[in-house]
Amino acid sequence: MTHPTHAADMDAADDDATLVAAMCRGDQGAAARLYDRHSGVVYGLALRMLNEAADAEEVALEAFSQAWRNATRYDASRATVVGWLTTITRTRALDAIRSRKRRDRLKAEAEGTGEPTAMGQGFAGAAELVENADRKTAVAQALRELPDKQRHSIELAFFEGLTHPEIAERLREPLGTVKTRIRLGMLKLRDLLAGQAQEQLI
Amino acid sequence: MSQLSIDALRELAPGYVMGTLTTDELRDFTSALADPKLAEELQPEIEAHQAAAEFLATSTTATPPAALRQRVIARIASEKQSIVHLTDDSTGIVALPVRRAPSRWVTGGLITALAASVVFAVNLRREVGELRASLNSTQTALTTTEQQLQARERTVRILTEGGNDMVLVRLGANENTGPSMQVFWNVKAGTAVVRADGLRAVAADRTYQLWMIRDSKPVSVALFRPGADGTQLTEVSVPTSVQGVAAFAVTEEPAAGSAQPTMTPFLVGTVGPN
Repeated sequence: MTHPTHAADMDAADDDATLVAAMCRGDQGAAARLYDRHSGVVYGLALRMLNEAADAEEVALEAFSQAWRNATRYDASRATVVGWLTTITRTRALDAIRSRKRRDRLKAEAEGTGEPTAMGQGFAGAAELVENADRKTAVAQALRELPDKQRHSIELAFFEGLTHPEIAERLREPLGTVKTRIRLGMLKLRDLLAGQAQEQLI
Repeated sequence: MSQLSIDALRELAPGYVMGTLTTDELRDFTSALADPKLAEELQPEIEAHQAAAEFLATSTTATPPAALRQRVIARIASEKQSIVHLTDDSTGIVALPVRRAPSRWVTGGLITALAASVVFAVNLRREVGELRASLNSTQTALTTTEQQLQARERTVRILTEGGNDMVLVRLGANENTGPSMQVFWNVKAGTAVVRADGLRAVAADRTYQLWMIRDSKPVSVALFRPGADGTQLTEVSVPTSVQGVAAFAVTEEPAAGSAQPTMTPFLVGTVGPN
């Protein structure tokens, strides 16, 4: 798997793997150190997806708890530790989004409004919550280089968990166009960010 | 084996990585991954999207509430881990204290015991490796099944939660033979379950395309391919109002779909009064 490659990340990845190995031996202190190192990313991702601090906190709690329970399942050949953690977090957040959709629909039915419930509150508010990290800046810059429709399609899939048909309907675009747009956008994003990581190495 | 072209499969790879494929897309993609040749072709694509996804996932950080750390630590302390893990230095070899020069018999016995320990350790490591591989495989299958169950749950929800806002559109001839289709449109939710029967298989570079005739213009709703038995059950996004929607129709198109129908629809069903 291709991962972020600059030197600091590689050192961090080594330390992360050591912590997970210690967690496999039942070392709760290692789990606490993993939390200290990545809670900002895990909580930030959950908050970005859910736009609700209380829900994000529950997702982060579940994610670290699951990482502890399943530490022995971590496979370094398939993902970095942070990639593994964020995958767990996204899965938990998507579960919460789908559960929220169900709840909102039932509530709307009970109130007789019948209005479809919009997901989240948009992305504007999230910007106030983020920290000024180098990685965030790099990704934001890379995202800005994508065409608007490409970026929007990726954000709907990644942060809201919408399927291809749902995105096509939301954007009123042909399904095939949406699929192609997301694929090309993700590949371009990977190339842009990998290129930036290489520049930092030089 | 998947009926989709490699290009169509590549377009599903981001959704596979992000966990946002529909039931049918997931079935097609996992079926392709079961084919070693296709899996080898798709692997670089999957890895590229995983890398991009990791960048995206780590791009946003926020300071969690201070109390969360204590909650996480308390939760961890109260939970057992799923598997007792063997440490890397667990060779199974036991060091024996030696106080004096051992006799030849004792030396021979120790060498035999040592050799047996090494064989035991090697076998143990191999078995652990096999168990880990089996666990990974089971985990992958479990993830796929969970996603399929979630998709099925969505389908059932669409069918059962529509109440008086369900619109049924039948496509096909009146006789009981030949292809047919039913669209169960949950207007309130803006989603529909499409059930097709009797569809013949299409070539690898072709697909069926479902259209909605809205304001006298065809609007693409979904691309789909029937299973081996000619049936298809899929979930599609549709408007939250029937206003302006006169009919649904099906054509056969190139694998990537068409912006406009390129043939006369062979299945048509009008949207009647609710």
